[in-house]
Amino acid sequence: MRLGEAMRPCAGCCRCWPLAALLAVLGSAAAQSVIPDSLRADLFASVTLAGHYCERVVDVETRAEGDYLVRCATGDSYRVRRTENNRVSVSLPGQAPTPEPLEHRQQVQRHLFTIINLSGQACDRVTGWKRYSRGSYRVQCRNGAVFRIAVDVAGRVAVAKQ
Amino acid sequence: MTIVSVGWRVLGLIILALFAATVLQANTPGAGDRKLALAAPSDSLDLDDLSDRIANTKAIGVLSKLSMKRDVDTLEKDLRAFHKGGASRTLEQLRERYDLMVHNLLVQIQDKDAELAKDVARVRDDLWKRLADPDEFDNALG
Repeated sequence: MRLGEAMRPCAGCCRCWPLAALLAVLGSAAAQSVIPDSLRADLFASVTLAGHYCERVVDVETRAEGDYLVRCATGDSYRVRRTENNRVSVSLPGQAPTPEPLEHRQQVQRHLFTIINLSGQACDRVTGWKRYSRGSYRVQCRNGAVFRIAVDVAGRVAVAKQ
Repeated sequence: MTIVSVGWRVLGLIILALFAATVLQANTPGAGDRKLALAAPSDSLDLDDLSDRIANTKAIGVLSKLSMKRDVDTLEKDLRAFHKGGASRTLEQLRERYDLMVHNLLVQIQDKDAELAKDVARVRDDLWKRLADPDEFDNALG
């Protein structure tokens, strides 16, 4: 299809949907490009550290200084806000932030979740784990992924999908 | 005692320094010059220098640093309770959380600030010994 043809008004079965899709993709890319990578990474990490699976940040709306509405590839949106007492509050819009985990097991689960997701891998929820030795774990996720977390001789944390 | 000064003392040990320094830099001009009341660890790594590097690294954003402060505060509170004998956690559990917190820090910096990550990994055990020792903990964090 030529571009000129695609621009003609469509009737019935639309022949110009490929162009519409292309424009949508380009529009989305343009919208994303205005978000600085550093802010995108910071917001992704903040959402992840709060225990929410984001996959990646697709859009950010700045509501005020230190107050953002973050849209994730999962379809969920979170309000990430720096509070008066220098905390970071992450919540679904209109809802209170999720309470911090209190039990040791929950805290370990949260840490394993963040380590995997901040390493660039994807784990939607940690459903189980086995600790082999200090700092070494096998972690199962709800999406079926299994990861091995270990520290190498150089002290680097390695997260490997199995 | 302000949140800032509590944070700074808590961060008397590397990881903790990360968060408070962020707060100090953000809100208290000049306060970032304060130094930690800790002797250098036995391997001669300069903790003050390392703390400054963690505070200033661009590998982690400000919001992320503040987000991590939650876990730091909880660990510090639980360690304090442990040393006072009223803890519901074992030392091994606290060590596990400390290790995972360091993991969390390392995965964020090891590719973007490799030298810093290497130095943090180098002192992690020494820092834990300080946190686990009631006297050292008191001296460091009060």
